[in-house]
Amino acid sequence: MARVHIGALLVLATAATVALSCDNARPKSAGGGLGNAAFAYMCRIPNAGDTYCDALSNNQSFPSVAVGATFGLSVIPTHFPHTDQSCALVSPAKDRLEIQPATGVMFDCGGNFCNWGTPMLAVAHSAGWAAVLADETDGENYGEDFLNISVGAVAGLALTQVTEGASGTLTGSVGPVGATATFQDTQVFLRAVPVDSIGNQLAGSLPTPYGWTTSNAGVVSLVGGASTNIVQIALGSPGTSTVTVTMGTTTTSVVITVS
Amino acid sequence: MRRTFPLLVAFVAFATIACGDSIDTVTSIAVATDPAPVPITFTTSAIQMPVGLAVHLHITGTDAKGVYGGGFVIGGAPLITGYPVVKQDGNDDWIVFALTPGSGQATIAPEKDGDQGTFTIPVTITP
Repeated sequence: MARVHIGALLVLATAATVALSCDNARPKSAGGGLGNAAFAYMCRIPNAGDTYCDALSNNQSFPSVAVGATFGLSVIPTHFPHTDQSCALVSPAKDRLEIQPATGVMFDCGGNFCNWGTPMLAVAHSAGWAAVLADETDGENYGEDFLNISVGAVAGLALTQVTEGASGTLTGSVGPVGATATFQDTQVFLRAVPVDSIGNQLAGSLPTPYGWTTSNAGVVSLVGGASTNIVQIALGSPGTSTVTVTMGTTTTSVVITVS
Repeated sequence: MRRTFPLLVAFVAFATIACGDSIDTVTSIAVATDPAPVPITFTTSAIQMPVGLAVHLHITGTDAKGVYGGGFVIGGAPLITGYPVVKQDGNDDWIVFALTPGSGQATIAPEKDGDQGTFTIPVTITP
């Protein structure tokens, strides 16, 4: 049994539990401000660097998105008597969030979203609020509903640790620093996500790849996935190793002690 | 002359109906978005909100006939723009978007049953 002390790492015990039953096709939606329509966040497929939709995520709410990111956006009226209407998505502040036809871009529509209106490609240009309008397409130019989307600049990377498999135990709590995890014949993954200045995860496909390094491969080695935001690690001889992940100009590290 | 008089009376009556009364004031502008994601101010005397945000507004006004809501038009480009909300009972509900940072004037122009009025409100859109 390897006992791993992980400093400066948020060990999400609940995330690890949920990851075992990860259902990445669940809706990621939000109701509009008027309650007349629902807006769906859609991940690009194949996953183009969107950590909100990676293999270990279980997000169901409409996220904040990163500056420079792209994602799918769809809307459907949900309030009678307008449920038979179709809506077009309009972004009045185009320099902040632009809505484009999704020509040649595929999305994971996730269950019922497959029956929604035509998904559009949203491009986040600058940080701040970016409201979108669900505009009825019956020619009368009425607003059906709206959604305020938060766009944030990527300020750093946050590490979360997740595990797969039934033989491991993981203890810890969501906290600012420090945790202890105990593994036994368990696959161990490190997962990095882009965050804003206050640590909130930012969604959306970002073109920049991830890179992982370990300072002591004899203690902690990288098994796979080194170009994505999730890397599998293997625990070796007792000692310490610093695992570092980078994405563009952002980077973060974690010291892992194997004893 | 006897033929012209009825036509003149009809014209005056038509003109009266078409012009209508003036609407005295806009009595309230309530932000109906609950809750607004960030602090905003949207009253009959001041509008302040961050650029990019949208809010749902409910507007009422008064004239000599009393309080009513309906038929409003909101202007204020390039600072703000408005879309009427789909409703069965008039256009007193609007979705207002903050488009560009800066200060200026927003206009609210009630128009219903021939009654008209135009009111200006200082607006500040923060970056």
